[in-house]
Amino acid sequence: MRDFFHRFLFAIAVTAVMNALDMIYHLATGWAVHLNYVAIKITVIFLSVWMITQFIGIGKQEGVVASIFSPFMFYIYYVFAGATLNRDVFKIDEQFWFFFLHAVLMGIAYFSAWNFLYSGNKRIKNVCFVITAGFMSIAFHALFLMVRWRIAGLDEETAASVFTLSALLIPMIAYFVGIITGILSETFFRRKIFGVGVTSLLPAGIIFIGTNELVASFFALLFVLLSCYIVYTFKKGLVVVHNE
Amino acid sequence: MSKKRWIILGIVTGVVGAFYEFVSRKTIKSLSEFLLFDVDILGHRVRHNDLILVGTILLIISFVSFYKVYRLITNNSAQISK
Repeated sequence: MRDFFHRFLFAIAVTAVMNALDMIYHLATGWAVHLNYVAIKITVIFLSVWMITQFIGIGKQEGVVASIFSPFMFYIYYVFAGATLNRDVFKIDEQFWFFFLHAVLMGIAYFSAWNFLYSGNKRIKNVCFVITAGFMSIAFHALFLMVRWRIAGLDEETAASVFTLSALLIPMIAYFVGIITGILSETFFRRKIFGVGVTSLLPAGIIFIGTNELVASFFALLFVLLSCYIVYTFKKGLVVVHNE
Repeated sequence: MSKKRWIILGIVTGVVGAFYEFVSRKTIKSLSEFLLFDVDILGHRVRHNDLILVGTILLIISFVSFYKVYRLITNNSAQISK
């Protein structure tokens, strides 16, 4: 059970990135996304990735196995579970071909985190950091929106019809602009504090200007800081273990 | 954990998980009353989909157990060939 915490964070990062990519695809192509569906997907994928990471390890073979196995288990769940949304109104990703899409998205998520850990190329590391931290922030933001609608009393069918790509468009732009500008400013000024400041404050500012919501921009600040903390913490722990 | 224990864990979770996952609701209910149907746990009504999720989690544990056994076998044979 060595290094539980860092492996746990690695699994959270991979799960969040996969779900963010998946949600964006579904919203862009008109498939329904709602809290119960996302909660089940997060549970199944997180447990698969975490258990493989914890008891087998982190590597190329483990990445390929996790990318195939996690979506397959999710597909199995969908085949045998009862429908909670009206399928005449809402389209859900329960067809078999979605398994291949989920496997590809899972592969992108896993190997971005893996390359951020072990790639020797600085550019690849930076790109993988942007993908991992950016999509993780978007996943947290999407969950925040869905939980807020649930607390406001919207039933799952209303929430599914309200959640479209336009609800995530400004946060998506804000997080990527913030994280990329943060990396550039850190490289330019050669001080980490500039990078952290720009990465956390810029998305919050853009979201506040774009949506005029102080609560959303405050949570954006928290989400981007949390994402960066998760990414840097698992890197710190797992790279040391890898080099032992 | 030893290879034997991983195998036992894989078989037990695989059998129980497959039972909840693949056997129909009607059959499970007719087999026994203690299989958590229509029971309240901490104020939450256990539904069929909850049991399917439990079955899925058990199948994940089972798969990882067998994957671990495979890795233990391949690591051992790699060490022997060295």
